[in-house]
Amino acid sequence: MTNKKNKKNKNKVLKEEKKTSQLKEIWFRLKKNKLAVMGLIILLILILIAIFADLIVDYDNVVVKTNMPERLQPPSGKHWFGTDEFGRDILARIIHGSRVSLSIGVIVVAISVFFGCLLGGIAGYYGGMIDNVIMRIADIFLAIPAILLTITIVAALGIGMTNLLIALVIANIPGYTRLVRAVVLSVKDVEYVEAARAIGLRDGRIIFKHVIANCMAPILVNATMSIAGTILSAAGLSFIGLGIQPPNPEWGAMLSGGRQFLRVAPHMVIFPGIFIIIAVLMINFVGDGLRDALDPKLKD
Amino acid sequence: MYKYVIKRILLMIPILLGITLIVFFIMSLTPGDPGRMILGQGATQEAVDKLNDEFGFYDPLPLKFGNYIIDILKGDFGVSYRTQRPVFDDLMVRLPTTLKLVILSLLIGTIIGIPIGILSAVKQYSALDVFSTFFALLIASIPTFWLGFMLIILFSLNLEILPSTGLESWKGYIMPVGIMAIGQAASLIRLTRSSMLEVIRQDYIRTARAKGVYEKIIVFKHSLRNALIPIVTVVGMSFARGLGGTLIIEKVFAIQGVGTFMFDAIGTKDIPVVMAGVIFLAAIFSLCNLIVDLLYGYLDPRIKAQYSK
Repeated sequence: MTNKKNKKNKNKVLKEEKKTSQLKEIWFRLKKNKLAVMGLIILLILILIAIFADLIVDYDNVVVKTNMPERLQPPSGKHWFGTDEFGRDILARIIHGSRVSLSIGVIVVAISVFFGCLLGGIAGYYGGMIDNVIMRIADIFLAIPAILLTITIVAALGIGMTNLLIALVIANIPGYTRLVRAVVLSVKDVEYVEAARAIGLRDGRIIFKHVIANCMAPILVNATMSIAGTILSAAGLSFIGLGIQPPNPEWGAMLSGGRQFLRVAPHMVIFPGIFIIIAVLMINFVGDGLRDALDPKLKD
Repeated sequence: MYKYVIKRILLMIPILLGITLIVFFIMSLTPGDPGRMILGQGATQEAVDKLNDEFGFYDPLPLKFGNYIIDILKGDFGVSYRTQRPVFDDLMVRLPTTLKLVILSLLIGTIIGIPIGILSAVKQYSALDVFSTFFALLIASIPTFWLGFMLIILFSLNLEILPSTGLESWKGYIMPVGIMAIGQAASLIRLTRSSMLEVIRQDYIRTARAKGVYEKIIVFKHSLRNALIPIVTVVGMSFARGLGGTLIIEKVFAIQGVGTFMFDAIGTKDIPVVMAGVIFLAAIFSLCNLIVDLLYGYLDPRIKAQYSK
């Protein structure tokens, strides 16, 4: 009895050791990539700013309230990044806008990855008829360039933040479905999946816990990169007037609003743009670093 | 080989039908009816109903879709709600502008991007490689419309040497095409580099090197030919990126292309215009994919062999 217990404990210890060491190894390799570490740190700062935006600046009195006497002022000691056409402080709006801009990327990608895993997992794992149906539909969606699909959906549902999110999610799902299906196909017949099937686990559990869990690497890298892509698309759509509406602060919408004032107040477009670039570039750094860290071919 | 070509061409039919179906279905979710859109809020319900009837607005959805397809095959994309003009005619006036921008920038981007990508892979970790990959990632992180604004501030407002809107003279092309070409070059650098690197690590390259083949021959004959297959795909995909990108660039520089046409239509809920624009661009994109696939068959002896039996 004690012997058995010991063995069990030993197994548990072994398992945990393996788990932590694998994560540690990835972290170790990621740490060596200086750009990725810089990206992580700056992203962390941006996220903290977004979370504590309310403590840093007062939303009602500074971010959305008009202050006509101070309109279109260039950067100064009082307004570091200047003011917009309603006299609102650009820095304050950038700080609050980070909430929307950053969370759009994360939310859209998280939801699309979930549905992509579900559909791609089912298609790849079961194959046959259901695979055919799902993949042909995905193919047709993929035959429409993503930006066109997004525009179509927003045009139909109406302009606004929620509809923009829905459109971006729908436009993202087919790509993930294809990716997940491909990785599922590559691991579905390996021994541990067969073993899971042999001990009678339910299909859902096998797909999510054994199959997809083991193809997380390419999905994770892809997801990181597409957070960056989504932030850019959302900014672009806000710029053409299909996304976030004024007076809500969002980086893309701020750029769009500054367009008429390029001559008199270029700071209105320069600063929000720089923040988009920083966020997107840092996410890309982290994505690149993750890809290298997770690539078994580069392991040495 | 011709079997492969025919098979690919036939496959276009369900894809185009599918695209039309999806766009049609999505657009049918739009609230409102054409009669009210055309006649305005002041019109009587009777007049609106009559017009809706003419449009077949009250027909069941499948019948509407069937009629739409038949009309499209006749080259009739309906009438704009706003201007009452045939959508197809207006689209045809604007399409060349958009395509010119996309093709020009893709051409320039390819000429810049692919050689740099190859060099960057061959001399991995050299100064050129580090610089070009960083540059490519930076460019990929900049919203195109923001870059457009910055160049307008610099070249149109401060230096006053380039026009900030329109394409009346050749000077008007410089900024829009330049911005899109840089974007294309950046993505091509990244993709060419990674597909070259993949090939360079293969055993047959090591073998070639081991038996003393000249480095030049290894790069151009052994590596590039094999890397070309994914690169062709990537150039095809860049076309789609270009299509998307030009829509936004048109808006920045107030260019009268398909993009501005569609965005104006979205604002006024001019559904036939939006639908025609999307279907048309998606069809061009699919055609481009078809060409890529055919090139694939030509470049990849494995595909050729499959179909030559």
